Amino acid sequence: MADSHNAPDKWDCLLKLLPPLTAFAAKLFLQEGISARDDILPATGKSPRGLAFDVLTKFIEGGMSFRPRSPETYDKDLFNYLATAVFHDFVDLLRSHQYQKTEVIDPAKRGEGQETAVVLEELGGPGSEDGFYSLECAMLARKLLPLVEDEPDLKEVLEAILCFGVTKREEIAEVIEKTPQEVTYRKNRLRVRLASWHRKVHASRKVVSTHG
Amino acid sequence: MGKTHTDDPRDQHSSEILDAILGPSEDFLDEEHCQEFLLALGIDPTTLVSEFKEHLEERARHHHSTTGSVPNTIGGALRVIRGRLQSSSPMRISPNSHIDLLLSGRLMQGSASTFARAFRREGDDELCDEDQKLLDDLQIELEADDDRDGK
Repeated sequence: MADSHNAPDKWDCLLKLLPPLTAFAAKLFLQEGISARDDILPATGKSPRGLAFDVLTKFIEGGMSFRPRSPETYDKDLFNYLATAVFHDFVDLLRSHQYQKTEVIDPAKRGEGQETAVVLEELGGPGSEDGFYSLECAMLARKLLPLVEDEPDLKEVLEAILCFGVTKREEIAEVIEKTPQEVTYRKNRLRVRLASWHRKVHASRKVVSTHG
Repeated sequence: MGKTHTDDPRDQHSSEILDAILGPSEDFLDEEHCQEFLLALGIDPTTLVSEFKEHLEERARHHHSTTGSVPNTIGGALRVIRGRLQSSSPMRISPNSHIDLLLSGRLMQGSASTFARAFRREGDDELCDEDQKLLDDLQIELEADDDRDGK
């Protein structure tokens, strides 16, 4: 602990992990933005950068105590260790009172005078998946497919995941009849594409709030 | 690493689907992919260390105002990071990301003044030998032209 400041390799590693950790936090925001009804994480006052910085600060304040599986896997293990902490903080953020203001109506519990028909109607009946793997996939498809309309190769990957429910690289490759490497290449592009979309959504929200 | 918000299998499946779309998190350990992703989100990866330093300085100020002292861990971290920032080169970035930054105009904000300093005299700052020689040569040439015109 006390000598951790005298170990430059640890510092090099920690500072090198700043971008990956920020990217991981950003991915959580993006993931929530895609899956949530809202396009962004509202009223949390936290940015991916802030989330990553807070975790690194706590790690430093705690004396940087960490035990990797082996010296060779130090970077990867530390990334996973810190990313887990970022994830937990993110979950806490989601549970925070400001974000939890969204009222969730449970159709199974019919309260006095509550109308659940609208909720059930929104969910759709059996078969509303429209050829997608699940209702969740159908909802994701409705949001994401228009974003890659002009890039058929990215659309193909998305459709493979959402229609067949395949999640592993090799499985996706089999469905689209391409190599796993090609899948990785397309997925990297897809991620960047969705990140750009998320950024635009954020920017438009800021404009709205400024004028509102 | 936890991928779900709850233990509900439906949430887990939806999280797996999103993970499949966005790729595994360990991909970010690849510098180029990581930079590309961050740039697409409008986050400049080259300024993260200095921003983190500012975050730690803020934390140190907070500790100082509440307890009257700054923990050794934070003080030590700041010393190390300031040292790294002084010795690091801003060009430790992949060529593709560098071009992205250049085209987006964000790189110029930081580097323009560096360029300007190399060619302009600022107050009483001494010029480097090469710049001084350039100026001296120009002055000699101009004086030579003046002499010729005078004749």
